[in-house]
Formats: sequence, C-alpha cells, structure tokens
Amino acid sequence: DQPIQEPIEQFKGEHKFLKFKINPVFSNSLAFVSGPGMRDTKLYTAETTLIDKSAYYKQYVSRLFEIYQDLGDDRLFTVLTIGLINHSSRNEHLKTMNLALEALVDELEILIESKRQSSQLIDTIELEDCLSILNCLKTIHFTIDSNEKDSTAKFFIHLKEWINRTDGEPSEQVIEETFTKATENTVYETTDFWKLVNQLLLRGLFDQAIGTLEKSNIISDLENKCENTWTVLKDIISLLREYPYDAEVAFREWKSAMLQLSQFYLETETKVSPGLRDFITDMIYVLSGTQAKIVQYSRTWYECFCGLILYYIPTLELSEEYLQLSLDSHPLDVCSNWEQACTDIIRGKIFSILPVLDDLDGCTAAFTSALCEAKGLLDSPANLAPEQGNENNLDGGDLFSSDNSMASYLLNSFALELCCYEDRDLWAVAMGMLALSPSNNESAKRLAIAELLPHYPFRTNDDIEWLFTICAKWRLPDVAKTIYRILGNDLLYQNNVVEAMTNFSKAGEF
Amino acid sequence: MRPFVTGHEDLVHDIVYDFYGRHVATCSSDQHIKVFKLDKETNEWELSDSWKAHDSSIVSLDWASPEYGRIIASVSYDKTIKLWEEEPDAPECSGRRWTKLCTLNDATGPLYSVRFAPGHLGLRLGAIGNDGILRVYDAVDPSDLRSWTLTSEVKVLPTPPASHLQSDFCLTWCPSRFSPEKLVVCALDQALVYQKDKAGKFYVAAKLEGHTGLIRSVSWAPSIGRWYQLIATGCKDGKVRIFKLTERMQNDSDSMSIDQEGLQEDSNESNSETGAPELKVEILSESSDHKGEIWSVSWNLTGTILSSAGDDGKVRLWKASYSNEFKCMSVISAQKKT
Repeated sequence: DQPIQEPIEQFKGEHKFLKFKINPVFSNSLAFVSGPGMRDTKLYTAETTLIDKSAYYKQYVSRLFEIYQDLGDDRLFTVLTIGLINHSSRNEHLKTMNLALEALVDELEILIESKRQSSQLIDTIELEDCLSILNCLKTIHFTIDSNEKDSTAKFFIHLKEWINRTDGEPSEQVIEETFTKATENTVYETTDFWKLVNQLLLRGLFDQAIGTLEKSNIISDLENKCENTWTVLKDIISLLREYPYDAEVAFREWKSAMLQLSQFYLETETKVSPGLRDFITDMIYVLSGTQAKIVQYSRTWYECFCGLILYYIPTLELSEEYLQLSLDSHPLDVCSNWEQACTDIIRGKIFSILPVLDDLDGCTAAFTSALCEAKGLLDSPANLAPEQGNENNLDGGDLFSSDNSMASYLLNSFALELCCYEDRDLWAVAMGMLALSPSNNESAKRLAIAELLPHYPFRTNDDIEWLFTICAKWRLPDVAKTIYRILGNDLLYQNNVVEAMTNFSKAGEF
Repeated sequence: MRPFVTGHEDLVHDIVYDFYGRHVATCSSDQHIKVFKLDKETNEWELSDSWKAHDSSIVSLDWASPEYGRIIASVSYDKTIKLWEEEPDAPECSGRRWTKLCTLNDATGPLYSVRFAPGHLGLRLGAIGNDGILRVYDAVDPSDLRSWTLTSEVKVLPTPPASHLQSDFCLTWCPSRFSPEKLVVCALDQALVYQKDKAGKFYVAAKLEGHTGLIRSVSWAPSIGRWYQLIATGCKDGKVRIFKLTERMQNDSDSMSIDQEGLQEDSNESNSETGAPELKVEILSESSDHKGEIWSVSWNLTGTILSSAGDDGKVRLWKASYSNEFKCMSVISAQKKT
C-alpha cells in the first residue's frame, strides 16, 4: 500500500503533496500524502532503517565494541623514539592487534552464519564482501609481523581463507560438470579437467586437487600404462602434502625438488598421449613457479596472486610485483565491491578501503579503522596537523572535522547512528564508542554526550541510574537537572506526586 | 510502506513527534488535532485522542520539551495560538484528554507555524503568520501554564503579503544547548536568522540566500559533535538547500584576522554592538533531484541525516561524506509501482 496511487501528474494536478518527517527513532518515521478535501489521510511507516535491527547484528556490534574496549592502552598507536626501545613490547602490541582483528573477523563470520541459518540470505551479500576485504587485510597486514613462531604458517592459512571465501570457486557444480561432460574421452584427457586441477592448486586447495586427481583414476590408470608419468604424479602428490608452510629455507628445497621433477619429466620418455603429457608438464610448471603458466591458468587476478605467492617465492616483499603481473593479465572486476579494496590493501593504501567498507557496513568500517589506526596503518590524531584557516579550531576541531583521524570519524558517526534506535544496549555502546574514540578532543566528546543524553529512551530505574552515572563521569550537572525535570514530569503524569517533587527539587526547582 | 488511517476528514497539514518519538500529533483543515501513540508490543500506532481545537484550518503544531510536561501548541488560520495540556486521568479517545491552557490572539492574520524553543531556554514558543510578524511567548512561571507573556514581537516582513497571493511561513529554533539562542524564520522566499542582542532583542544576524520561490519547510539540525550549525530548507523552486552557519565569538582576537566573505554589511554593524557571535553563512549543498516542489525537510535525532519529500513522489535521505559533501544515500518511492 503506497501513499501515491495515481500517476504523478494527476497527483500534482489535484494539489496534493507528500511530506515525510524523521522520527527520533528512525525506523518509526512517517510519510503522508494530503490534499484539499482529502478524507482518510493515512500515515505511512517507511520500511527503512539505517542499520540492521536484528538480534544477531546487535550482538555483533556489542562484541566488536568489547574487542575494542578490551584492548586498553593498545587502542593507541605510539612510537617510542627515546629511552630504551622495548622491542618485545612492540611485538606484544602487534600480536595483540593481530589477535583483535582475528576476533573481529570471527565475529563477522558468526554474524553471516547466523543470518544464513535464519534465511536472511539477501542481507549477507554485503557482509560477505566485507569479509573478503577483511580477510585480505588480515592476511597482508595482520599476520606476519608479530614474529611469532607460527605466523608464517598462519599466513598461508589466512591467504587460502581469503582467496577461497571470496567466490567459492570452483563450485561443486563446476566440478561435477567437468566429470560428467567428458563422455568420449577419459576425463583426464580433457582441457577442463586440468583447468580445474590447476585452479585448485593456484588456490592452495591441495587436498581437493589430489582428490580430483584420484577421482579421475589417472593414478591407477597410469600405474600400468606409463611408469614415468605415474612416478612423477606420485612425487607431485607427496610434495604437495609436504608443502613447507612454516619455513623459508624449506621452501627453497621444496621448489628445488619441484624444478628437478620438471626437468626430469621434460627429458624422460612417456607412453601417454602428447596432450596429456602437455597437461602434466603445465601443471609442474605451475607448481615450480613459472609465472607465465601461473598467469595462463588463473581465471582471476587474485588466483594469480595467490599462485605467485605459493609457488614463485612466498614473500610479501614482492606483493606489488605479483599484484601488477596479476592485474595486467586479469583486470579486476570494476563492478565488484571488494576487489579494488583488496588491491589497495596489497598496495598499503588502507585509507582507500574505508569508504568502501563504510558503504557495506558502518560497524565493520568503524572498528576495522580503529584497529588499523591502533596498529599504525592509518594516521592517528597525533599525526594530523590542524586544518589551515579553521577559525573555529577550538581545542582541535569538533568530532567530525578533518583534524580527527578517519577512525575517530567512523567511530563517532556510527555511534550517532546507534542513538537513532530505541535500544538501550546500543545506546550504551554508542556512549562507549564516543568515549573511547581516539579523537584528542575531550571537550567535543563531552558536549556531544551532553546533547545526546536527554534523548536516552530510559524505562527502568537502572536506566536512570546509568544516565546519572554518565552525567557524573562527564561533569554534566545541567544535563542532570534536565533529566530530573523530565523524570519529575513523567512521575507527575503517573500521579506519583511525592517522587515527582523529589525529582523537581533535585533539579533545583525549589 | 505500512499505513494507518488518521481519520481526519480534510487536508492534513502537519505531523509532529514528541521528544522520544513515541507519540505523533497531527493537525488538519478539519479543525481537529489527533494524537497517536506507538504501542510497544505491536509497534503499531493507535489513536490516543482527537478533538476540535480551532475554528479554522489548523496548520502547524508542536510538542513542548518533556521537562515541562505534556504540552502541545497549535496555530490556525483563525489567527490564534492555543496551548493544550494532557490530562492523564481522562479516558483515551474521549475528546477530553487534552484541555486548553490558554488562547493567544495577538496575530492579525492567519497563522502558519508554531515551534517551541529548546527546553534549556525555558518554556518558550515562537509563531508566525500572514501578518508577517514573529511573536515569541514565554510561560514566565512554568507552574502556571495558563499564563503566557508576549516577550518579543518582530516585524519579519515590511508589509504583509497580499491576501490573494500564495504565501508560506515557517520557523525553527536552534536546538543546541551550547550555542546562544537563535532561530530561523522563513517568510515567503526569505529566510532570516535571528539572534538576541545585549538588550535581549531579536535582530537579523544572517540570511539564508538563494531561494527563488516560497520556502515550504525549514529544519535546524541538532549539532551533536559539531562546532557549526546546519539548516535545511525545502522550497517551491524545487531545491533542497543545506546551509552551514559558523559562529565567531566577538572577543576572540584570533578570529578578527578574517575573511569577510559571506558576511552581510548590516549584520557586521549590528554585531559590533550586540556582543553576540558573528554568524557566517555558506551554502553546503543545493539539489534539484526532486525535479519539483519540495514540501518537507527534516533532520534526524543526531543531525546527520536529512530527509526531503518532493513533487516527484519520492522521499530522499541525505548524508554528509567525510569531506562534508551531502549526497543522496537513499530514495524511497511513495508511488505505487505500475
């Protein structure tokens, strides 16, 4: 049922008009259409909200706030420049930040899974895009630098999680089709089969690649047909099972073994068809890090990027070169929400991903930027110079000026959005976010809290006590008086005269 | 969109929410005011009361701050302002739940708009109508709500508009607790920002320029966390405008080395005598997206989102980016899909 049932020209011709007023509780906002002599004007609630109102999302917001709050002093990025530089405390800080981002990503996965199980699939599309961006961020910037024993192994786990979660390829359907389409030839004689196997290898899905080879019966078929090829395949499978996730030195040996296999197969005689020999040769080239073959068998830039890291040299120091090579042959999809952001992450342009994240989900953007700032990946307030010519630069600008960091801006913005819902828990998170945001400007925070507090949708005595606690903490006696007066009138309305008078006298009315 | 029927028998001019958004009051050419409350369990709006409030079309109404109780002010083409207080003991839907506190009949022409000042300024309201005069009333003693004093009378227009011509008037107060008292009054195509001088008299501190048609709606954003003010207007010329108002304290020597751009000469002269902050106005955004007359603009609770509704049958929501550019973030169609 929509307010305007007729064509617009007729609507205007009848001197009708449309009005819309935003309610303090945003989701209760009303629109109406009226006109001269119109009977039965209706008010319409527009089905629009700023943020997801589900219990799952509320829990997500609360959990992210807790993760941020629990960081304590680690919320701030500091560089020690004098005195005894304590390397271990720096490593501790990095480790803490990395764990915090991991926790944030875990919460996002939980949110997506909860929504999926409750059949809210449409809502998960943007969250999945967020996850793609965050998994990339976690892999590139929140894994290796903590110098922990297992950080290299973790890097590969994160890399594979990122690449494979983005698009879920190759899908079950694609795998099935590859096997069922091969009607005349055996499946391992088809191009599609080897494209599939290489795709799995480029994505680090070793078990699945081995499984695909086994399912095709190539190993059992070749055992009697061509011993050399059979031996090479068995060696490849062994090497894959021993991929050196945790040591650079071991990788050199691994690659050297793969290159030897490649050399052996080139020089050896085989009894397989030329086509099959070429396919297997190509696979070995991919696994021994031949860039041209990695590029050839990748379908997307991120598959190519992953393949180069896995097989060329597993180091982030070459990530720019890998990225460039990947993009030159597989341009990114400009319609995708996350691909550009991920290339920015690889290039170290963290700032650029924040507007994209903010469009997808404000909460994720706010806390991700806060963690990036705390880790030193984004400018913190201390590094930002006051804006030139800002004649209203009172104590460093307000909460939204460019004197503040991006993290402050996003945290403050999202906090204010939370106050547009009649949810006391989200209000409490909002006040916490304002209080903890890395903005230097305590007086701006105080004034913002003073303006907001009277709007808190209190119901119980606990809520009221909480209000006064905040007033005391932020030294807001006038706001406290306003609240006492509101309470006094509320109690008078309920005919509770004695308590009303108590509140009025606390407001200084008598 | 989910609808509910108001029951008004003629044109509905305005709707206004109470402080917490749990009640909405509506007014109509059928001379009635209706109050609806939101049921917490069902989240549906239900009629709380309805009564005949004036002898002509009721064009505007407003709720007082809850610091002063449950009070509504209404204005009408019958040239009166009426104040109403809720009687919690009266049954709902009886027509007797809201009793009249008083009638203010100083206006000499139909009234168009009434707004209460923010609660921290006291129990105060402003009203304007076709006589082109802004009147401000105070309940000097909030324990006696029947007694209101006319504390300011300001000629906004040099002469009232001709009665045969279409006109429109609206006003809105600056809601900020930490900014000196001010309000914007729109009369026809003029938007004037008034402030008080040392003697407590209202004067024109700034103008919101550029309107080329009747201003239908004006809304002053809550300035939470910002040092500047934002005011939005919706105009018959088809544009939604957002103005930024910056205050510079008179005795701040740093601000004297200035950039005079945008300041009005007459307001410069009056500011030097007033001791009140100088106001600088700049237009932040001007949009014709609605491609037709704009009928209403309103800000959300935190002053971060603006809504506009226009003759294209759409509601638009606007939000500022990091670089302070307002962009349309959402379009809601009010039209039936064909």
